[in-house]
Amino acid sequence: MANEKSREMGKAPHNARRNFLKQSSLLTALAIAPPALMRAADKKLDEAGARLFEQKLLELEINGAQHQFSVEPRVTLLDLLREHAHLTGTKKGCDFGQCGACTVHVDGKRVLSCLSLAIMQNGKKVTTIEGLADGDKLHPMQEAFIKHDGFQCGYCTPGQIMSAVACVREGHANTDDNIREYMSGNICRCGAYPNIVDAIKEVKEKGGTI
Amino acid sequence: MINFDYVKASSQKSAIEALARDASSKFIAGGTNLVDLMKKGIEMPEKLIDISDLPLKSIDETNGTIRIGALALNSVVAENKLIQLKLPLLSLALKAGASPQLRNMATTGGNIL
Repeated sequence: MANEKSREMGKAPHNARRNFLKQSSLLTALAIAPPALMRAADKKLDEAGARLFEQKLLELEINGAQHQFSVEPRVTLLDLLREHAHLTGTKKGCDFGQCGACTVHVDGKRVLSCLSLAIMQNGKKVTTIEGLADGDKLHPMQEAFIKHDGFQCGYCTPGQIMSAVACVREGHANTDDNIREYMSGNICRCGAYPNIVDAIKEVKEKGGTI
Repeated sequence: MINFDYVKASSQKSAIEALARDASSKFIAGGTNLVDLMKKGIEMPEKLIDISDLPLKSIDETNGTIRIGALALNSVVAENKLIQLKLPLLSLALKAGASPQLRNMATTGGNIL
């Protein structure tokens, strides 16, 4: 009996140690987890919270039609057009203001939609590539681009055309060099530049309202 | 881009007061630098104060001094008849920078700051 007791007593400290280790590691885990957990929870809450009550109301005209959106301040005009308005004609090339693929017209001026915040366009008039044609009738610049083969892969093309229309309207398409300089905000990796210049020249020379 | 609060300033006074109240806030006008840096996580203001509609866009001459408003766009300044006549180098300098699209967004004040 003494043996059994001593055996049991032998076990008890062993179990006690094991329990202690279990408990202390659990407590330690609890001690260090909360901040990290809380930060993670915060972030999730942030994202969820942002959706719930940080969205701003935005009204603007796109291609002649009035639109209303509810967006976070950090949404760019480019993302608004593509993701919210489902107008994917405007392209995301570099997304930081260098390539010009995202060029649209805001209140008649050509701008980069990737560096424009959507909420800052409240009350403004936006024209995208989808808004150039008149139903099935192509805009003269679109026709010129086709006629002069002004694109290959076509990715820079919507931005090129929007920029080209503005370039002519601004009165900056007087000479070849003038056109090249004032179209320098639009990059074409396929190298369709000479044909783009030809297309713009033709529209400029034809005259009329564009 | 990290999320942030956004307010539109209705006056110069309220804009300055809003900025002074909040150390982590910044003015935004053209945004061509700021939005770029915010996308890359280099600038992370917690609040943006939109000053783009304030009446600071005039370009005029008084007694031989030309004044250019801080919110006058690069493109507008470059094409302005008075600037082209009296300060042609300024017009050329502006046109040598960025791109036509960026010049239609960038402000004089933002350019300097």
